[in-house]
Amino acid sequence: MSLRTNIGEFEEIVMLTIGILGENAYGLAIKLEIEGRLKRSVSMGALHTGLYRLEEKGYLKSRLGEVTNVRGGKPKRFFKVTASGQKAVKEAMESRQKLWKSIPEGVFKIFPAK
Amino acid sequence: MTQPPKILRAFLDSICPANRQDVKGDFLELYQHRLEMSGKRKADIRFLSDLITTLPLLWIIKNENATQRPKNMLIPNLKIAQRTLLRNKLYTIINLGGLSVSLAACLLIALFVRDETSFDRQFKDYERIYRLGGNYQQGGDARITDAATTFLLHPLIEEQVSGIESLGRLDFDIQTINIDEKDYIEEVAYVDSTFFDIFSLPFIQGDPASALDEPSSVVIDRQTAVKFFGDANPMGKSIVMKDKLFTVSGVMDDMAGNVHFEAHILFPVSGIKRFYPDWVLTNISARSVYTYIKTNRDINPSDIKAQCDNVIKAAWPVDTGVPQLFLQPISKIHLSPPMQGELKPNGTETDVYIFCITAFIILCLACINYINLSMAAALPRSREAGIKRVLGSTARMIINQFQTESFLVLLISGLLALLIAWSFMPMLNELSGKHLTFEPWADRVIGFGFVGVIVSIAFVAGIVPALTLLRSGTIRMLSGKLEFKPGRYPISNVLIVFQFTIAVGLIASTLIVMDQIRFIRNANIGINTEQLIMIPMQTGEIASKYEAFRSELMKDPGILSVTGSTNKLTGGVHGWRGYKVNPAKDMITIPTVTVAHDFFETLGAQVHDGRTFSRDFPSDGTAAYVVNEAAAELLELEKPVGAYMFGLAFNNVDKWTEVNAHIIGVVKNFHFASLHRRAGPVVFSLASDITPPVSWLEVRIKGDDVKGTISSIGKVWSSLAASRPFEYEFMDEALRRYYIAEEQFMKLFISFSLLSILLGALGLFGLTAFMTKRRTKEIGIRKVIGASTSKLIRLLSGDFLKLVLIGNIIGLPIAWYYMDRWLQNFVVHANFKWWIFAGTMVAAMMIAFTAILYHSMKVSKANPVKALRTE
Repeated sequence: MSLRTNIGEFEEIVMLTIGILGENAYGLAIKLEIEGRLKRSVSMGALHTGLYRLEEKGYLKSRLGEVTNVRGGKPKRFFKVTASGQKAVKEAMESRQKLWKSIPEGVFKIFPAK
Repeated sequence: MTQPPKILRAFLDSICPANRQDVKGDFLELYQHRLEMSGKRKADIRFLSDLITTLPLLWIIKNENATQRPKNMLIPNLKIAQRTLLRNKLYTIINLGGLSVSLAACLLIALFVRDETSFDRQFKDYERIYRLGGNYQQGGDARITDAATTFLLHPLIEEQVSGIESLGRLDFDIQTINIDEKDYIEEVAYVDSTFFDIFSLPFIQGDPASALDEPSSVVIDRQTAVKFFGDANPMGKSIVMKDKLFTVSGVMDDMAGNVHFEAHILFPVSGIKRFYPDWVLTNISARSVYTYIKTNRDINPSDIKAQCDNVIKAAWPVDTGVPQLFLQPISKIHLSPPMQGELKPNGTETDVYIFCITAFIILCLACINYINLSMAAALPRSREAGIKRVLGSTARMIINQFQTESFLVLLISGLLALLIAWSFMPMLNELSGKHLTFEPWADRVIGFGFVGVIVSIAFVAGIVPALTLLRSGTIRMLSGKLEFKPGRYPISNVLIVFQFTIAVGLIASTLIVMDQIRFIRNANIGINTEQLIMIPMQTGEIASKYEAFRSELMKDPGILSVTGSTNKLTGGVHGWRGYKVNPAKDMITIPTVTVAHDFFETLGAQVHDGRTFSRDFPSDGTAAYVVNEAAAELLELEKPVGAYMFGLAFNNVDKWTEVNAHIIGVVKNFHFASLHRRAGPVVFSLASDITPPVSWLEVRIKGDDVKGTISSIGKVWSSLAASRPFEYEFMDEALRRYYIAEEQFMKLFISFSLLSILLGALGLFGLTAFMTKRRTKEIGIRKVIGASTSKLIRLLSGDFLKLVLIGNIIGLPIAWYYMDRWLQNFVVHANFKWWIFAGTMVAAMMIAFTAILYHSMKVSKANPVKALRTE
């Protein structure tokens, strides 16, 4: 859950994954990375819509790669998380942590006993 | 490298935005990946499912390659529309006027049709409610269908027929009701206590299930409660009828107009049964009450019908002439052909169809006008559109601009239409005899229909001119050389022809209807109906003073003659009785009219043979019949006068008498009622002790002082029958009421045909305005070279008039065909008159020509120098 930044959970995941992939963050790689790490399936539609939205919000920027013969001659689009994007992810994390810390001990049984 | 199937690739191409080629790359790479992992089949399927999830991308990612444009063109488009409309005021007024009037007409028709088709549908489970009607033998092979049944059928059905949820009777009577020592004469209904189980009429007070359980209870409606008791709570109040006390046990809401009967005061049958005369209670062939059946769920009405047939067969005293009973769904009553004894005038399905078609035609005409005119108005603006196109407008943007304009026009017309329809509501109610309120928004079908029609006209009317422009190509648009000329755009030719076909057809039909109505009014129906006054002798006591009335009235020099009859003459013929001219043959039933002396002389009926009833023959009362020609024919008498005829007389109370009589005279057929029906066989008998007394006076007066004579009749009345008010009616007026439907039809037809010709003329007027403007220069040149004004007018109007002529040629035969069928409704009808068609044609051409003339004259007469300077 994000509080003050307007990014959703999926968008947060996408941005973090782009961070993980570094220079190689293009559409399909992001999809496979999320699927591999989080064991959830990501549809092409959702991913590309998300990427487009994030770019519109200014959290991502992209550049087109070289045209090669693989991929039917289509270029890859590489994404990078912008400064405001990084701030948004950070805020999302912090606000979440703030909430976690405020939960009284013993309410959530999932915490390891101290 | 293996590629996905071609069709999937095409799908991918169509989904991926042009500026997002990378998405395509991702798809193809993923496909390769899956191909290696799980095979082609799976890869294909998942490729497709991925494509589907990507569909929303189409809307989300806009085509950024397109020319940049302002985000929303609505405001600028509205501004352009406003300017265009204000610049061409004439065009705007013609459009708004035509559209709003037609929309209003359609709205009114829709309200009418909805009401006609909604009859009896407000009752809960109306599909399961039926009225039990019957088909009865009557007069030889003739049969009559009657909505009423015998009072006795109810208990029989209740005992013997299964599958019925509730069963109830309904009967009407006029009674004097006494409340707090005050007399009211009211129409009252007698119903079984189950009545409200069948008809779910909402109650304001009391419980509908038990309101009429007590024999001394009575249910009234809201308006009656207010009339009788004012603001006081009517529950528990007393109503006295025929010295019996009834207590108000329920108040129901006033009944809606779209129910096939109307009841205000409802007494339980259990409480009033003893008021019924014996013949109602004992005679199974009497037909006086209406029986309603609500069937159980999942019961086929034909099962019930079969059971009822058995019941009536078992109860019928003789083997012959058992009536055929049938169940008529109540929702079908109003639009079915009327039976004998309908409780309200029926509508006709044909009328409903005609109205629907008319509404549709009017809408078409209005659309055509609007499309034609907006096309004519758009063509001069081709340069504007051309420049936009050059600057990068898409076709969609041009269409949007035109549609903004048409939506604006339609929006305003829609509002105007509501206003017009609202103000014409009283007229509709008067014409249709309904009490409709103007709440089109309360009816979802009409509300959405109205909005739907407006939106679709706006849509089409915006797209047609825009496409016409776009199709001609940008270069020609820029040259500004597109001009509106009939013949150039075939679609508008067709539209003009269609408009005039309709207009001409409607005008010709109207004239024929008017001619027929005039013809009926003046038709010779065999008697003289003018200056003939019919006076009801309202009670038995008054009727017993017939002779006194006669002798008093005859003293007045303004009165020519006086006679009487047992029925209201214009009410048609009743009193079917059996007759026999040959003892070996079966009885033949023929309607019988019982009359007083001087009957035929007073009416002016013509005697064909023999003599009529005379005071010189005292035996006429018990041993003489007069028949009309049709009856003589039915009885198969070669020489009717002097023939023996056996009959039965009934005094309408308790006594049947066998009559051995002879036919003393034959009169020519004459019509009692409407000319829709042929004059049927009638037997006339003279009123005497064995017949009911005459209860109607017919007085023939001199025409010179109608008012004075009526007031002197009134004086005689008050001296002899002071207890009742004097009522009278002229026979010709009463007869005229039979043609109310035709007259209403005629009035509507006149309005519609006026509307259609007006729309046609408006359209032509607008079109010529644009056309002549475009051809100003051409006309100027023609004039300089030496064309005369009249020649120019001929040139300008010829093209249009040709189209109007074609409209005539198509429209008139259609009108002829349909009106010929309509005239078959009448036994006598006016001949077709060629001048109606010729007149219509001339009138249509004249109107069209006048519409064209104004603008043609203006350009043709103008100084050609001015025309040539227009650059």
